[in-house]
Amino acid sequence: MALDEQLVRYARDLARVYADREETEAAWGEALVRLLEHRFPHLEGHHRRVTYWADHLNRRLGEPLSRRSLLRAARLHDVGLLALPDETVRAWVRSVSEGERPDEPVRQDFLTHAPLGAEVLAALPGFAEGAEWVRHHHEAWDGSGGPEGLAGEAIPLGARVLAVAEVFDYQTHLQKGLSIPAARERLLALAGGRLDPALVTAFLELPLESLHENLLWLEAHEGPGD
Amino acid sequence: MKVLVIEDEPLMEELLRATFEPLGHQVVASSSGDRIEELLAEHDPDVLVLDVLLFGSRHDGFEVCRRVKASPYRDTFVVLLTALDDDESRKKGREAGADAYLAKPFSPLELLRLVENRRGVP
Repeated sequence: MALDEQLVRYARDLARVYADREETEAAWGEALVRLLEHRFPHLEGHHRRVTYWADHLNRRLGEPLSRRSLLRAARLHDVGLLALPDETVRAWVRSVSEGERPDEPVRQDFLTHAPLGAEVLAALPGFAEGAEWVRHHHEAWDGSGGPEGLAGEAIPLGARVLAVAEVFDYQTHLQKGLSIPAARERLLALAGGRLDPALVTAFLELPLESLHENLLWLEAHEGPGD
Repeated sequence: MKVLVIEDEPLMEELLRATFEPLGHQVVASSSGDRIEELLAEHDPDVLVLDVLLFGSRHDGFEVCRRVKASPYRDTFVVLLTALDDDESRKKGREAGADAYLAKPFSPLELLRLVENRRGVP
């Protein structure tokens, strides 16, 4: 076989190898999200929406994070919840839905899902880059979060992006009735506390109302894995 | 994982980079193995992907492989790439100490499997 022909054949085979891997990896991720949302139906759609907001924030920032890794980390940021007792997750969601800080024992138990999730991501081919972002997505800019109590820029950027996306979804979906303008106000109030103030500023510059409408449309018209 | 590629065909070198780098592996490359000891000392690779026919080099891949296996870096997993798929060449590869032997045209999947599992049958 001529050299040119060999090289072309190798390149084609290589593209197929990576397409197959990508598909298999993505399917594993989706299977875990399905399992998670089946176990905790009140979180249905949460992972998809956090992925959507994290993606928009990253783009607003000029894509400092690998989009592929961020989307995968965002989809699976809560996968560690699968290892937690139902009552811990329910108690946490109840508190968040009512806009209250959870009791300390509930909070501590709940935070263990972040390092557990990081272990899962680190073990999945194609997801490992986001493992540290998942580990630290409940850290707070002022150091009051967990699991390690990191503060400021010691928290990986990916984790800070996930935090903004997650808090915004809590406000607009888990805390029922919070309008986008009200969620904007709430987010601003958390800047410098729970959230990185520069990321909050960047996020609030997004056209949140129209993006939210698009998100609702996507949820209504596309399957859970899209 | 660090992969040292010794390949004299620039396009093939690019394709080998494209095989490993998306998986997060670091690739360093050279078009000749004449200074293999220096390359090993500088990069300490986990894997050496080595073309047998190296145009313009004093040593072919068999000789380079022998020198790797006689060096302190003998644990480096060596994959020989060759256009020659005959018993004699396979025997030479085995004698040189190669961990795996791939005759061109080979598939990237086969190369990745070998390197990721580090199980070779020369």
